[in-house]
Amino acid sequence: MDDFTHIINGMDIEGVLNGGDLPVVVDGRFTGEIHAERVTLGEYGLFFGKLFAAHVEISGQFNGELVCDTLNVGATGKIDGSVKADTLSIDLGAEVMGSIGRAT
Amino acid sequence: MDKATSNKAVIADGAHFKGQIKNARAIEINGTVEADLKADKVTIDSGGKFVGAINADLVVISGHYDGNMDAGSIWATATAQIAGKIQYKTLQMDRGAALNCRVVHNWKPKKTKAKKTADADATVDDANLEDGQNMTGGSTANAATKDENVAAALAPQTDDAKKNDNSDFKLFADWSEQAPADKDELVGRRRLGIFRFGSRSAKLSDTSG
Repeated sequence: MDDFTHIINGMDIEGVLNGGDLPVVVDGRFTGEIHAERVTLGEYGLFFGKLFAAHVEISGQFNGELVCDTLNVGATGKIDGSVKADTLSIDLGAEVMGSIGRAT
Repeated sequence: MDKATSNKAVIADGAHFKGQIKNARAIEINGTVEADLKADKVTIDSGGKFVGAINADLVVISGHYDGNMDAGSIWATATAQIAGKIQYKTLQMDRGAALNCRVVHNWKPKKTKAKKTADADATVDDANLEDGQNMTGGSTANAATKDENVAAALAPQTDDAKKNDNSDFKLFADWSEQAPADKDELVGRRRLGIFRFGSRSAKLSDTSG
């Protein structure tokens, strides 16, 4: 049994997702709001909306508002919007546009 | 955790989703989902809860379900609890499954019709094939008869009986020569037995003439 929430490639989801304690992986297209402990946006993942999580890894395309403790933007990651993170790492090749600030 | 190759969406234990789900072919629900869903296969695990409409080929329910379900096959396991309305073509219930819902057998004549047409097509194809085999067998037999005639003209002193034997031999010799490499055709000929039959009749008519 898989122990994480997985929005697979090709899937289109719209709404509010509360991930609980388990990680959330988005490889498809998500529109809306995610509250979770740990969120990974895969290389082909698309996100529109608001994302609140403790640990976030972005390798896909993110549009909107991101609030988290630690953020890692992968080499294929693209961010457009506002980011609030206490700890931030951006890999070489990533595209980040918008405002960046601290969550606390 | 191979993320890219997985073909099954998962809503994990403890997760809660409310909204729309589109283009999910296979989805497994361990958490709580309030959504309308169209998919090939839906699995609601024992800890899962789904509220909303489901349209799917196969639904396996081990958890809670409430809503309008239209499914090809429904398997309600021992821990299933279903409320609302379910429409199904085939339904399996394990001992212990709780159904507090409207249950409708949804027989769709459309699919049966489609199957029948396919059968009819197959029959037509078979008939065509048989015709084709007939034609091939006949033409080969004719060719053989012609050859035989030439042989008869060249050697007029051969008596009828001998000629018949000869022609028979010739025909089979020709047949083995022209035996198609294609396995299907060979099987077809063998099955129909048309060639031998055709050759025999050709031989007889030749004898009379």
